[in-house]
Amino acid sequence: MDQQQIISPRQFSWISTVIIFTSSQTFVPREALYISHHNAWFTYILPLVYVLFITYVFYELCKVFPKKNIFEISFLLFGKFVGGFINILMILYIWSSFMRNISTISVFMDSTILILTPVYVIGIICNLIVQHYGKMSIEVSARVNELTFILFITMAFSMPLMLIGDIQVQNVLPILSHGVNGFFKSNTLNLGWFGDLFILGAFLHTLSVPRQVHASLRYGAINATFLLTLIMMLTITILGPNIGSKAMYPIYLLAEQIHFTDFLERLEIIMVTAYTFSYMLSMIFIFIAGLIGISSFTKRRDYRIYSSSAGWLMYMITVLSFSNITDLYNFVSYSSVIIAITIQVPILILFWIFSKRKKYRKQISVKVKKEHKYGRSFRWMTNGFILLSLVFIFFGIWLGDKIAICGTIAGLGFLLSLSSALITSLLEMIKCNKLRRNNP
Amino acid sequence: MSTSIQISLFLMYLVTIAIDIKYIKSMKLAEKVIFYSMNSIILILIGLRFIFTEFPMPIDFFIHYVSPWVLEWSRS
Repeated sequence: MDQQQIISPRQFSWISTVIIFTSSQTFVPREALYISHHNAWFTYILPLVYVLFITYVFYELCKVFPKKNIFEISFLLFGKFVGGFINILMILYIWSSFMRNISTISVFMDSTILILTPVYVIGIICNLIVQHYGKMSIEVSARVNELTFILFITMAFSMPLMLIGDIQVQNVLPILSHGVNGFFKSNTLNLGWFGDLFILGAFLHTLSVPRQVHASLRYGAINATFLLTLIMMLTITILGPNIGSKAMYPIYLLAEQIHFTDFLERLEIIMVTAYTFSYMLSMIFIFIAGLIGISSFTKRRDYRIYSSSAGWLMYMITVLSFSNITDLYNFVSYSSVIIAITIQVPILILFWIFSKRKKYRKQISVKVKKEHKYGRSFRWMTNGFILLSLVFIFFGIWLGDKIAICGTIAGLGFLLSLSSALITSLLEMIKCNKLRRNNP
Repeated sequence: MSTSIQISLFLMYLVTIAIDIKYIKSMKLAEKVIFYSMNSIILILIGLRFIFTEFPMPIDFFIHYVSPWVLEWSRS
């Protein structure tokens, strides 16, 4: 295996979209709908702000330590013992995400399309696929993701068109009339899932230009937020908040509502297939991130040697950890946020503070400093639009329960701001892609 | 999990690890330690699973203590 692995900024952004979207879509919409009812489509904005903080810390780290991943940076910043301890914490976090995802997909497939297959067998099939990809370079998985992502994103964006006949706009009204409590709680519960982006720290070495890392991660996160908001809106307008909050898998129920003609009755099978591909890839990325973490202790980037052993170890721990679906549901819906906050936030703050030390700031090359200005206008526009969407939400919460039209204006303003942020972040990524093309 | 599934899983594990044996020669000492430790834990877990149906795991803390607390907070 080559020590130098390279993936493109576009592939990097698609990986981040897939990780956030697939993780957040199985159980979580149900909980958000239960807490926020018809205002659940606002539940992804605070997690997005948190993810932007993660991308900022990664950017700062990449500026000081280009071509290094977060595990190597940890050793460089904190030394052998403290750095090693932080790396163990990060590996435990990554493994817990992996266990959660492999159990979720096994249970999801067992109760939707593979009803007669034992859940352990589905789990082992997923595990063997993950082990197989764990023996290859990250470049291979990134390319496979590039192929399946097109199918996945086409499906996601075409859902409103396919379901246009069933949409009942009155289901979302009155907008933002439930106050700040539900909004804050449902947003907090989603933090844990969005925090999965932290895992991409293991792949920071695959992109050599810090600005490209920053722009692609931001675009990936905003793209995932936009898609999740869209699917949540469809769930509310088509199923309604009551059915959505009681259904085990609202997204599957939504796909089941698609009926084109008598010949295209079971379109949800195709959609679930596309979703499963992306989910599998998200697990593969998480698994490879864990393997990179283990191999960082031996200072060799060849992680293949641990693939089978780590895969089987994870499988055994997963089987023994979740004895029934209730345990899994409780862990997935409520514990993810606590794990993310207690592990990620202190680590990110420590990394950020230590990377600001003078001796490290001196290492930043002139080229990197110049590149910071690249695409700055788009970056600020994106930040402005996200801030504007937050302002709209708080305006709606403030006046939505008294004057209904204010809530509607806030909802429309939020949608426009989020769409504009998606476009400007895409433009920023396109602009940053041109960096160092002729002068690497 | 039925006994037949358990036995077939164990055989599958042995086959995949047998394929990985070719890597052992090229491993450094630290890598060998990690490799053998992981496989020892797997074998211990398989053995325990064979003897007991259920036994406590670290994740139980989150399932039985953290999750109910967050659930109560979110529904309050």
